[in-house]
Amino acid sequence: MNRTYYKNGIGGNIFDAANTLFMILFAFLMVYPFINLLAVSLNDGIDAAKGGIYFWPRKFSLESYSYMLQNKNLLKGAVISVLRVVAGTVTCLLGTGLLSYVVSVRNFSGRRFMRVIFIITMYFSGGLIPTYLLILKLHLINSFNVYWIPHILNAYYMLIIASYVQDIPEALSESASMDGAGDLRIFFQIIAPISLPVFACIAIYVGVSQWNSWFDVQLYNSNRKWDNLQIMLNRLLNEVQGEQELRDAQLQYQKFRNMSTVTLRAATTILVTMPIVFIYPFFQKYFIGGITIGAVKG
Amino acid sequence: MSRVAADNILLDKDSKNGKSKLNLFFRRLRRERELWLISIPMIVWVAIFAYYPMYGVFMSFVDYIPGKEIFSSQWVGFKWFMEFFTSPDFGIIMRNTLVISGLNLLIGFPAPILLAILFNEIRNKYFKKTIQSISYLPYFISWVVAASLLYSFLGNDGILNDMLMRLGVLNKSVSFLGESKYFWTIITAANIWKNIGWSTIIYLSAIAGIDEELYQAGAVDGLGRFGAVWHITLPGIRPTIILLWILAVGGLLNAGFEQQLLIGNVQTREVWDVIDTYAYRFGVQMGRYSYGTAVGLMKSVIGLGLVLLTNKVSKKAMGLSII
Amino acid sequence: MKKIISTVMSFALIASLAAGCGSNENAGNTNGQTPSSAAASTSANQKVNEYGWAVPEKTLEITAYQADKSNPDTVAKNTELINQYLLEKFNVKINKTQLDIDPNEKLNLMLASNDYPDVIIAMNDDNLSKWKSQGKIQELTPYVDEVGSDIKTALGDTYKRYLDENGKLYGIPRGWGLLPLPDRSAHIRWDWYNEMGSPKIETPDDYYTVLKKMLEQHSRNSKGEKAYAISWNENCNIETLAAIWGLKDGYKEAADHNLTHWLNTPEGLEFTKYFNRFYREGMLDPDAFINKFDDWKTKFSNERIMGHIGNWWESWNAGHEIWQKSDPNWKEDQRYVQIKIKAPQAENAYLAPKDTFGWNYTVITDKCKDAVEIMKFINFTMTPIGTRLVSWGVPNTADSNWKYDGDGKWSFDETAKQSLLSGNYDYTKHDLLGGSQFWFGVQQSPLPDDNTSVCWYDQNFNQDSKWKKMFNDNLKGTIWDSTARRITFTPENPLTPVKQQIEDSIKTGWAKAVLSKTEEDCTANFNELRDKMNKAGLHDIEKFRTEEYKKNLEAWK
Repeated sequence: MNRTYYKNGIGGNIFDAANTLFMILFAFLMVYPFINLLAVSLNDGIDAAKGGIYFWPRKFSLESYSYMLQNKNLLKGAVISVLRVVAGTVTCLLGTGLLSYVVSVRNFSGRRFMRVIFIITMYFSGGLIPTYLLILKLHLINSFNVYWIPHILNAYYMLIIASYVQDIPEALSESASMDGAGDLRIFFQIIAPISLPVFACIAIYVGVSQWNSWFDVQLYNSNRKWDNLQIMLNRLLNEVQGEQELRDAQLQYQKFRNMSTVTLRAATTILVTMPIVFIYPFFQKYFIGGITIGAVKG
Repeated sequence: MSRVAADNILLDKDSKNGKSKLNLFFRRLRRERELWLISIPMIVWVAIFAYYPMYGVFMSFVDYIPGKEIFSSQWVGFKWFMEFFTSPDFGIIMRNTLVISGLNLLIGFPAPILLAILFNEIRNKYFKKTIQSISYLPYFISWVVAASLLYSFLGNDGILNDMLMRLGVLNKSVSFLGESKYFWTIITAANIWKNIGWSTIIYLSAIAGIDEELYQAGAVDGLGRFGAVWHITLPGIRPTIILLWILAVGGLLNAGFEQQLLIGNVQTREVWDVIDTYAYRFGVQMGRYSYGTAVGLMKSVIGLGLVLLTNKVSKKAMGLSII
Repeated sequence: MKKIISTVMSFALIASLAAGCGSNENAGNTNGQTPSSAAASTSANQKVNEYGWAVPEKTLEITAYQADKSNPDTVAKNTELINQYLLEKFNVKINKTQLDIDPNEKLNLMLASNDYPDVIIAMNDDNLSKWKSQGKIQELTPYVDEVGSDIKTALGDTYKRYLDENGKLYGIPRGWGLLPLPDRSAHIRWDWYNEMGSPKIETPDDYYTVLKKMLEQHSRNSKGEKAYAISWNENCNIETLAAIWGLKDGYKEAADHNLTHWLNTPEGLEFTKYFNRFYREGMLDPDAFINKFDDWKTKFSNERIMGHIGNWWESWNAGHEIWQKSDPNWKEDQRYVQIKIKAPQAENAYLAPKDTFGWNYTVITDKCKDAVEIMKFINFTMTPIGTRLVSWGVPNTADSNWKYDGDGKWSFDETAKQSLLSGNYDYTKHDLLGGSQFWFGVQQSPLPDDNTSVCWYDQNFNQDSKWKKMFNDNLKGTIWDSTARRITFTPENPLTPVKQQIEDSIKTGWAKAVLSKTEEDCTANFNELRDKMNKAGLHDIEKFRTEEYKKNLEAWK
């Protein structure tokens, strides 16, 4: 907090020192896996099977990266990933944002009803088969649309945004209402700007979950036309999950022989994860320093 | 004129004139026209994407075979529920689910709140930004990778054993991953490690929403730095905390899946097997969808019940409700 | 001699194909149906390619889903070349998908949504009966009679095993026949064993003694990390261990064919105690039951493990296959070698159960319009030369591992063979040739025309390969035909969840018994597990297995 109006006593200084120390240790714990993955990914594939790589590659090699970059589908996957994030985030923020506004208007007669029908969806779902059949019926199978249409409205995000929107002084929207502004205008011109921090937070949540999604690709878009980056990574990781049902030793051997190396898995993780990790700093400015509601009021 | 005021005046007028409630209803509808126009497409959407497929829960009461109609399948009543409740491992599975999930609630829930406040107290802007960005990295690491790192750290020949033996704390290596008594600690720590940074984002956004004027006023009133945290920051994010707590309690029966399968092993099965892993083995993997659906339905009902209950308590005690 | 046989065979093949097509025409006429495109295309001037395949005028398209979990990206890459080859030479185009989603789940979604391709490869018994009962797959018997003479020839007498109670065939078996190669055994670090003067190892106790001595000499690796005599991972199974004590596939068979699970036998206790001794004396890798294969590989490649009991390829893959490529000073003796050990009182070590029935089936669904044509192609892939093509991949290219000169004349590529013998074979290149991608009805037994070549390319030179030969010679007599033990537990069977329950608990309980601090504890833990399992229904499983086993023995006499 960069507030100058609080004096920092001795206690405060000690706290700052302890906090800084803690944060450095904490950061190490959090960043280490990435350092490790980076080191492994830059190592020779066969040599890496011997383990024991912690901070630095033992036998430096770029083979995993060059192998990955040769993949013709990589760029296409990246484009789809980005499109997915953009389409999914924009539509979800618009849809769920509006929904949150609707369920926050204090004396809207449908407020409770809307809340309840959405909260129920957080706990009850039809399960895999009925959902699959629905997606099939709507012709969303093997299409890009399956990435965003089923995610426009989200009850969990609705509650989070609504809890924020509720705290906005009612006087703000009332005065606009008296000026003849409709609900859409109130939402876009008053509510949304004040709620930027929560929208930024939901944008990160939605964006990252869109970027990280692979199960719906596997399930609905199995023709590989709409593969994103994450599915490519997960296909490699899924190979590792042992399959006990193979009892034939020859079949087992064939499977294990074909398994990707640890280095390739590490390199893919790095390549697939890095772009989304760097999205956070762009949203961070909305979290630093408070908002002055009075300013908006005026 | 505010909405509330208009409503009250209308109400007064109507009741005075003795006009029918229907009339009031239409008036209200006209006034709320725009809100309903926004709501209707949303209702349609939720009807299609969430409510229509819910016929699937009917599977729990029949003997469903894929490819056959659910509604013409053999009715079996509560057979699948009974099978789950009477299975020999039921006690163990419920215990594991509640313990792992309970630890996640008790320790995993407050941890990001504390961290968010600590973040907020960092004075150097760049340091703060950097640490925040780093903190959510583990969220992006898949459990497969996390589990293999955990092995190299906690295995019998892992770094921890090595260190403890060098320091003379141990004279023989301890199988941290192989002994049941360590498992709950390990999985709770792993869950926190993976999610703590990620979960702070929402609290940081809530903190950012606190009116700056409050802090200024606090300083004038002589609140110290720590007093401001206690009297302004924490109360400011209280609605968010309560909301997330209510929802977290509803997820009590979701104790995880992948992390159990990857960090757990045959030696520790009796402490890691939870509802989801169990239902997966005995439902999906055996092709018994009805069984899996029944377990899922049980979880849903309990989850929703818990949410409503917690919500009621919160409404009474703190006047905050999600409904 | 070989050439003549091959030539005769290929002529016979062409003749049989022609005959098959001819009969198809007849069948079409008698049934009053319009002749299918298959029948129409068998005109006299139709081109027959060098494999004896009558090339159809219209491209034969086969869409197929293979119900084996695999990385779809890899499958797409590895089918590219062979698809090109088949299109060019056979005018056949196969669109095969293989996903990394659980195949049972995918098949169920296909059933529920009524959305599935013409052909499904690798369908298991359980799904086959489900699809059959819902009428979603076609009866294949008429097609086999019409155009599948090679299928019948290949399967011979066993063909009737695959017919249902009404004498109808619904699936072409995959991976059938007996591959005469052992696959599981005890392993030992060879150079160190030779250093010790190769003492005799015949019994589990010999193995223990040798390992113990070896561990004394190599108690730490070059980095100073602790070494262990033996390890275990999730691919190892208790059945292999039980086999050393004379049990077959984990069950003791009485003279009247009654089966007893190893938990209920004295042998079971004995091998548990045997493994427990390794643990008690610090010779067992303490992470034995925690290791994932990658972790295991790390330990083996760092020379920390002297031996293991399990699959042949595991310690090879984790040991010398890494040393060879990463250590310039590697000598070929530095490797793991298979040895046969047998408990003194056991009649034999039944280490390698061989299910000759096959892994699973290829089926043709009711969506398929071209069943006869597709069956013709499946028939081709089950001829000896067809099997070679779909097993070893595209011939005659620079990277190919075999040559085909037409008229049934073929030979192995010498370079590929030599690199295989020296252990430098490039499997990535091998996979790109598209071998084993289109296994519709592959046989594992040696192909009938030369009686030696087998579908697994790398298993063809075992007699020339010093180490593979040693492996085979050492394990002579460990193979046994386990076909009649093939028992399916359907989802409807009330014993299915019981079986799962018991399997889960046994894994946990056995690990606990092995990791007991004293022998008394080990015995107590073993007995506790046994009693618990019997209470949970192990006896019912034994009874069910015995009944099914006897039924199979009766039916396949």
